[in-house]
Amino acid sequence: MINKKVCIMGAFSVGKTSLVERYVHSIFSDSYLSTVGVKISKKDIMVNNIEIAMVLWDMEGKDDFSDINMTYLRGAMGFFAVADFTRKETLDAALQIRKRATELIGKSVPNILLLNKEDAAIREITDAHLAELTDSGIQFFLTSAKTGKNVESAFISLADQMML
Amino acid sequence: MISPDTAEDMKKLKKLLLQDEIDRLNKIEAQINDPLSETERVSGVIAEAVIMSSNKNNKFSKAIEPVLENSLIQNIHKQPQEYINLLFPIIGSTIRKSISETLNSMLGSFSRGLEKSFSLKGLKWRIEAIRSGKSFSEVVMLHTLVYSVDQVFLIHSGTGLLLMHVERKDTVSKDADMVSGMLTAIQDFAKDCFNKDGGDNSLNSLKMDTYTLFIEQGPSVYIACVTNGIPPPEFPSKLRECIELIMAEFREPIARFDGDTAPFAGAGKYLLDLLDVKFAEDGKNISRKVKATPVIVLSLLFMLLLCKSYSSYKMNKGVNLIKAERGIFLVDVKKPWGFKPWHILLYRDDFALSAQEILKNNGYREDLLTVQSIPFISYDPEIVRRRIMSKLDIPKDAAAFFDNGTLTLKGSAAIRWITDARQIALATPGILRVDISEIYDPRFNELEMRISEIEKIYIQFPHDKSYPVGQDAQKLEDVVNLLVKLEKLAKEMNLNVSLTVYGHTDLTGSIKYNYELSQERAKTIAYMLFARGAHIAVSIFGMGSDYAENSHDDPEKRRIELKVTLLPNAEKGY
Ligand SMILES: Nc1nc2c(ncn2[C@@H]2O[C@H](COP(=O)(O)OP(=O)(O)OP(=O)(O)O)[C@@H](O)[C@H]2O)c(=O)[nH]1
Ligand SMILES: [Mg+2]
Repeated sequence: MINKKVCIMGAFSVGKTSLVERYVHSIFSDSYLSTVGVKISKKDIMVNNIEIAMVLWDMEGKDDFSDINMTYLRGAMGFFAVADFTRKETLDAALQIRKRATELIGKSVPNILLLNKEDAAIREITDAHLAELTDSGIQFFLTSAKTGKNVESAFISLADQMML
Repeated sequence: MISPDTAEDMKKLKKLLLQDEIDRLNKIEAQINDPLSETERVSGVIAEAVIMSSNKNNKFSKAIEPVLENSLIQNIHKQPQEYINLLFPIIGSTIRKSISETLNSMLGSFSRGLEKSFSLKGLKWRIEAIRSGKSFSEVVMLHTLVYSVDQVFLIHSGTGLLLMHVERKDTVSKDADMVSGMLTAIQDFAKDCFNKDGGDNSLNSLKMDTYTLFIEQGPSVYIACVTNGIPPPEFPSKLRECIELIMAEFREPIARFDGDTAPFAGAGKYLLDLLDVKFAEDGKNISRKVKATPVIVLSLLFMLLLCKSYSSYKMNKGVNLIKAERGIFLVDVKKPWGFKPWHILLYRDDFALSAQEILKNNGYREDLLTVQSIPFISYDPEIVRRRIMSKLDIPKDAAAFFDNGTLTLKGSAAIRWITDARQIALATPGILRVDISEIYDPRFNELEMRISEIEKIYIQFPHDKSYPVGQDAQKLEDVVNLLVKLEKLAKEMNLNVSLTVYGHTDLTGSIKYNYELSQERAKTIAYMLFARGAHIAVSIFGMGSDYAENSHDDPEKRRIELKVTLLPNAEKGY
C-alpha cells in the first residue's frame, strides 16, 4: 500500500472542505461550517494499477498567510491551493500560499491550484486572470464542489504527479 | 657388579616399577609435539589466565585494548545494523528502569489509596491477602488489572502516515489511516501550543473512560496504542522495547519513506506482540461499552477543542450563528493567530439582530468576536416582514401576512387604518403587492344599515303643499335622529356624510309648476332637518313630476326621497 499525505490550503470559505467532501463522499451541502485546525479524510484510488491511499489534510482557512502552519504542512507529498471564483483576493491568497508552501516544504512537491465555485454566476476572477495563470505556467483546474465538475480530475491529476 | 643380565633385569624391574610413568611421559611427549592437542589444552585455561592477569594488573587489557577497539570499529562499519540491534536494547533498558521506578511509585500511591478504602469487596480481598500471604495491594491489582490492548498503530512522525496497524479481532475501528493523521495533527498541535521553544514535551497519553491511548515516540516513528482498562506497570516499557526493535530493524526504510508502506509489513510481528499482552488474572473482561477508536477519536477531538481550539470552536460557532441570521450577509472573517478574537465584516439590515445580540442570545460573550457592520437593505422575506410589521400598528382583530412579495391584510380594522396600511406597505422595500380583499371595517355594516334606514323613509306631502303634515312631519324627527347617529359613526370612521333630498310631485299641474313645487318641497325638508339639529351638508333637487305615472292624484308621488352619500374626510387627506 502506498500512502500519500496531501494538504488542502486556501483562504477562508473558498470551499476546501466542500471539495474534500465532494471527492471523498460525493456530497455537497450549502451550509457552511468553518474548519477548526485540520480535518483528515482518506480516499483510496488506483493510479497506473497501483492502489494508493490519499490522506487529505483539510486545513482551516486563513486570511493571513504569514503563519501558514508549517507543522501541519510537514511531510506533505502534494498539496492543493484553493481559490474562490467569486472573490479575486482569494486567488492572490492561493498564489501566495503556493509560493510559501513550496518554500517551507523545501523541495518542489506536486501542487495544483483549484479555482472553485466555478458554478457561481458572479465571478471576480476573469478570463484575463486565467490567461495570466496560464502564461506563468501554473497548473490549475476550474472546479465546483457543488456540481462536482473537475473535482475528481484534479485529485487524480495530483495523485498521478505524486507517483512519478 | 652388574651383569648384562642384571642390566636386563634392571630394565625389567624398571618396567615393572615405572611402566605407568613411562606411558604418561610418552603421552606428554606426543602431546607437546601435536599443535592441535596443545591448543585444546591452552583453551581450557586461557580464560582463567586472562582473569588472573587482569586481576593482578591491567597489563593484559592494555595490551589487548587497541586490538579490540580496532576490530570493533571495523565491525561497526561493516555491519551497523547488528550493532544498532545490540545497543538499542541496552540504552533503552536504562531508560526503562527509570520509567519503571516512576511507575512503581505511582502504583504505590494507588494501592495506598485502595488500602484506605473500605468496602465488602475490600474486606474479601483483605482476607484473601492474609490467607495467601500476598500484600493487600498485590491482591487488589490481581483483581482490578483487567485490561487488553485493542489497537496498535505504527506511525511515521514526519508525514503522519500509517506504516502498520494491528488490532484485536473484535475491535470495530475507524479507518486507521485517518486516525493516524489525526493523532499526528494533534501532536503537532500540542507541540505548537505548549512547546514553542523546542523542549521535549510531546503528548504521551490520553485518557477517556476506560480507554487510554499511549504514545511512544521513537526517533522518526511513533507507536500509538489503544488500551482498555488499567495496563500493567511493565506495559510502557514493552512499548519502548517494541519501538527500539522496530527502529533497529527498519531504520533504513524509515529514513527513505516516501509513502510506500510495503517494507514495514515485517513490523507487524512486533506490534502483534503488544496485542498479546494480557493481564487479566481472573479471565473476565471489562465490558466494552464503547468501541475503542471512535472513543479515542472523540477524545482527540476533545483535546483539539480544549486548547486554542476551544475558543476557536466557540468563535466558529459564533460566526455560524451570525452567518445564519437573516438580514446579515457575512463578507469576511479574519482569524488572527493566537487567542485574539476573530474579526468579522458583515452587511446588516436594521431589522436583523446585531451580532452582539446574537452572541448574547446564544450564551456567548458579546466580545467573542469583533464586528464591523455595514448597513444595507435586505430583501430576505423574514426581514421584509419585520420591516413592515414595525411600521404597521396592527389592530387586535387584524393580521398581516407576508409571502412572496405580497402583503395580505386579513380580519377587521378601521377603514382608515386599512387604507393607510396599504400605502405604507407599497412604499416599503421588498413589498410588491398589497391584498386588502380579506380585511374589512366592521362599522361598514352598521353604516350601511343606518343609511338604508334613512333612505327607506318616505315623507309624503298634501296635494299642492310644500310641507309635510301629521305623521309625515313626525317622520322628520326619525330622519334627524338617524342622521345624527350616522354622522357620529361616520366621523369616527373619518368619513363625511352628505345628504341629497329629491323632491317629487304628482301629475296635476304644469311641468314648470311641478318642478318648482318639487324643489320647494326638497328645500323645506332641508330646512326642517337643519332646524331639528341635523347639521350636515344637504343638496336639494326638484325632480318635478318625472317619476309620476298615469294616475293623476297619486299621494305616493307627492313626496321627497333621501339619498346619503359618504365621502372620505378631505381634511385629513387620502
Ligand atoms: N456555489 C458554490 N458554493 C460552494 C462551492 N464550494 C463550496 N461552496 C460553499 O462555500 C461555503 C464554504 O465552503 P467550505 O467548504 O466550508 O469552505 P472552507 O474553505 O472549508 O472554509 P474554512 O474551513 O472556513 O476555511 C459553503 O457554504 C459551501 O456550501 C462551489 O463549488 N459552488
Ligand atoms: Mg473547511
